[in-house]
Amino acid sequence: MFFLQQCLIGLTNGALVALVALGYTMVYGIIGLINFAHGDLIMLGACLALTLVGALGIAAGGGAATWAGVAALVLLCGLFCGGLNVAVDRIVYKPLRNAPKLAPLVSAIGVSFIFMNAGLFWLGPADRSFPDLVPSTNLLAHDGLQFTLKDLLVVLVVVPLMVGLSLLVRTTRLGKAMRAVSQDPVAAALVGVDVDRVIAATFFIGGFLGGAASVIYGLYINTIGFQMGFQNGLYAFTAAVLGGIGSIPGAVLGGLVIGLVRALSSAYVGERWTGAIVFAILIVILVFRPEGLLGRRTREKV
Amino acid sequence: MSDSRSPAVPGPSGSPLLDVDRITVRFGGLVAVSDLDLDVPEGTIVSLIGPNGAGKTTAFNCVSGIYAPSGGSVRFRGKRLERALTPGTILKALAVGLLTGLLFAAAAVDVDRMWMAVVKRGMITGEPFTLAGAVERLRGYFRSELAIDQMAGKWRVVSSDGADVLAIKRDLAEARLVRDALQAKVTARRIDPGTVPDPTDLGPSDEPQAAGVTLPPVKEEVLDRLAAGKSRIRFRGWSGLALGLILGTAGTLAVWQRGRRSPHVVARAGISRTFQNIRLFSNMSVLENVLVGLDRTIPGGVLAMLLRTPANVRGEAAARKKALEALGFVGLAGDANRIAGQLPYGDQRRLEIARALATGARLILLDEPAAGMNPSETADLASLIERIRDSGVTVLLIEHHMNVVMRVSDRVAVLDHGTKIAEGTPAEVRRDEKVIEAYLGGGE
Amino acid sequence: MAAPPPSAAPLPPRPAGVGGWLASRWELVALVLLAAAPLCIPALGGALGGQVTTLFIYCILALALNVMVGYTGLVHLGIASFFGIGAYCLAILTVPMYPFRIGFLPAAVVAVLVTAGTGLALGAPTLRLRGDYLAIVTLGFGEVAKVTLRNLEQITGGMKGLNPVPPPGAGVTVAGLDLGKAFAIDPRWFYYLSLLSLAGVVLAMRRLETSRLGRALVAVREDELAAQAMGISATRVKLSAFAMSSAVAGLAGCLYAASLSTTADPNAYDFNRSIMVLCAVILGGLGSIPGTILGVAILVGFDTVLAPWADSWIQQMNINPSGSSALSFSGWRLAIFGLALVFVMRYRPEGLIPSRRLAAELHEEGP
Repeated sequence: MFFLQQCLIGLTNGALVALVALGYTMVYGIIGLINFAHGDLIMLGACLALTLVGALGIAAGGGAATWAGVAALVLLCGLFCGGLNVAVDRIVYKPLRNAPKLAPLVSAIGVSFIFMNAGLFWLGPADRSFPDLVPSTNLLAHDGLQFTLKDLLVVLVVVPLMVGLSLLVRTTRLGKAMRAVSQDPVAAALVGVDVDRVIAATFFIGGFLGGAASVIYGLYINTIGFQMGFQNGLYAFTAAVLGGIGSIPGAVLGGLVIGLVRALSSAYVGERWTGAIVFAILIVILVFRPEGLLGRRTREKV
Repeated sequence: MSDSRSPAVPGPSGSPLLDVDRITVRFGGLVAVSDLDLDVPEGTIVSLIGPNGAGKTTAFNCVSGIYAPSGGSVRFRGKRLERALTPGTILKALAVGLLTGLLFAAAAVDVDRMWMAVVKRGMITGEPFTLAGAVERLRGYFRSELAIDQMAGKWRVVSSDGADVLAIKRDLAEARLVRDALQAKVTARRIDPGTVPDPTDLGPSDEPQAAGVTLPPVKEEVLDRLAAGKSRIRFRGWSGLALGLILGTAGTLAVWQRGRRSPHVVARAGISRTFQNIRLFSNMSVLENVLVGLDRTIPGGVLAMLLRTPANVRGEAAARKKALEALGFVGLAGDANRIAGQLPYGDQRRLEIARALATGARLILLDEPAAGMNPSETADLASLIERIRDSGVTVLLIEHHMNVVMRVSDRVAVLDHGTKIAEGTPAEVRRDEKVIEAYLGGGE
Repeated sequence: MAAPPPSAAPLPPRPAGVGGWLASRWELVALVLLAAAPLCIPALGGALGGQVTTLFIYCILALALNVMVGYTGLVHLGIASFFGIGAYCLAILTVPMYPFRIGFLPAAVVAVLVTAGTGLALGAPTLRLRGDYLAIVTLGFGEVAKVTLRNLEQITGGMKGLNPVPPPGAGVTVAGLDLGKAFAIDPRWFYYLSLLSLAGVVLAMRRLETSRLGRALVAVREDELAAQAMGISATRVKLSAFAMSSAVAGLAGCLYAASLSTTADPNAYDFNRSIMVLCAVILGGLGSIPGTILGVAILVGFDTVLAPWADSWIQQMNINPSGSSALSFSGWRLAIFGLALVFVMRYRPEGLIPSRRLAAELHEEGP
């Protein structure tokens, strides 16, 4: 029963990781950039969420007002992070589209610093507690097993977003264009795909998912701080690599795996070794399956 | 150029230098090359022609190890172009596995506590720290024996990992007696009267219990836990070692397998190439480009290079000399110190050939060397290719300039849609109807 | 060495003393000036000497990173962990609380070997992969190494670190001079030790640049596939670079722990330090030795000179009576570095003192 409980915790946490990992994997898939600023973007989203909770006066509890408030938060923070992501792409990465790969990567590190500094001013140097809007009432009629309202919240936000994303990528014109650009941007441009628009859309979607994740993070973990982006970004990026970077289902699977590993190793080995265990698993995956769990092997163009 | 290489060694009797045997390359659903057979005899110039998209470069990439064919084989001087699985490879994998295993085992038995038991406890009694003592404590840790620790000037009898404190004494000798007595109790709990004792249990703990020591009360479950400690820590250690050994060995072999047919293996076997879209190191000097091709001839690793050992210095000087010779061979001797990317197009092509020749290849693959050249440059190139053959290097050529192909080739193979449609001397191929059809009807 | 034939196009002349001790005259001049400085500037015998020593040590660390990012073109985000491993290795082998006490030099040799080995162990499974993966692997390793150092409390002393690390030459008396005491009393001893190490590292880098491995590194950076087709094992070349970079970072760590006489706590070796060193290398000039050193000087200067001065000025002007961090200069530190990185990459990717070769490469329009 304890094991099952840990798995449940792991999957819920993993869904959150997956949401962040999607932002990494989509951007990497389309322009081959490790967007280091993504974790800090989410930190800024959490800052906004905290501010909005106060400004909108969202009531705690669990009634309809709370749920409406949460929905508004997800939407607003998603729009904010998506917009910010697009703006950063336009200002910082777009001029470097043809530069060697090092340039956008280092710029992303720079952007992450700027975000972190903004977060420092916004939140202050100490961790801040995020209001506990959604209570942790257990929904299962079982003593040993807990599935709280908070867990339900994660599922309620993450699952529709992911389903929506996969529908978008599979069925819409934009999705088709995104897949085309990720395979060969030059060829895509030649057949009339507006590559810049597709890249902007990718940044927006990645940012939106990150913004949503930041709200859930705040509501679920209840503590935010200006340095939270680094740790979360590291886990999420590891999840993206684990699942196969550039692959959307891979990011989801990777996120769930990371969540499970974190929960189980915290429960059975000790919280403080979690990072080392996740890292060891990453190395093992890279040795045996460098393209990731669901990734495709890429051929170099000659 | 020819003086710097060994005289041509013929391959095993009768077999060609390069033997491409029914290779097939698929990209997803697309078949780029299907069932291609091609023999390149030593000392000849063989050309591969065909309309664009016929699969010529794909075949080249297969030979030079950039793509792995989906089927068929490529043999060079009678051998497959991949690293052989030697006992050395397996030994190396096992060594890596052993190291990984030790790392995993260290993590599994909690290296931090082990350090405390082995090193720190050796520093507290005031006796000199000896290796023998450390080994004894290490064995004690793996037997999960009770140990003596110090805190605030008092001696404590603790479990080997320091988690349980069983007694606190002012006097070291007394603490030792208590330890031995408790250890005897723990050991007794582990061994049923009926079982054969494990030889490792016959330690100091089996000495008769000293009289006059009052044992502190120890809870039953604590004793049970301590008694189980030995098998627990051994299980952890061994399973960590086993897991690491398996992962490390298998991982090394997996990585080895992936790099087995890497282009540098092919290059070292004696096949070098140029690229259709010139791939020089364009920010290096002309000379340096050729020196990269000569990399292998310079002895010494990182240390030799940092210390500038005489052998390393001599090797560098010899390589420089050879590089200049290679540049002279292609007619670029005067440009040695220019930046490669600033050379005119035709010179870049010739530099690429010099770089490939410098590797000491027995077979050189030229991918459209005349592309973008004017007629006089093309004529020069044709004579350069002939001189390459005359120096003892076999040439496999992809070319669209028919006058070059017809002038230099000993044999010509024609590819269309990934399959070979004709092969023979230039004169034969020129008359072949399928070839004419492919070129005229193919709508290039 | 065969004299190269007369060159047709102008190429900056190769340094005359390719086989010599120092490649450029300016470096020799700088070394002589720095060596003479403590004799002329008495302040170097005090706290300033310690600060300059730290500057030299960071220079060594940055040069170590430069091997990876500059020469090999691989993004390495965990250099500080190798710095830390070197420091802790030295401390474990020399502190009085452990029985080894083998002295500075042997301990430094072991520490350098250990860091090089760690680099090999980390690089062997990952350097064959796409270059981007190394960024995440080194980033993760940096975090894991820091947490591990913190968690192995029995070995590393946890957050307290290991101290006191005895000075080099403790207990050794040469010509009536107790070396250990001399190091402990007069910071100029450490000044010279680290200056000497820095000079040695610069020399090693110069030799690397003009050697077989240096050429192979550039070849792999410019076109990995073409380099492989010329018989160069890209993995081996990258591994050599990684091992060398780790070893030099380990050396820097040894000097750091010895000069502070403590390892400090593991947080001294975290991501922030890695990134600051990366900033220095990028700001100064990727692949350029003088550039890297200038970059370190700027960053250290920012932290130890400019920021305190600006903060005290702001306080004097009474601009910030409420003490808000947004109105203090050092509160903007991260943003300033971030902006610097973004602007450098946009407008001058080759850095302040560019390396001739990389300048051309970084301005190339890629595929």
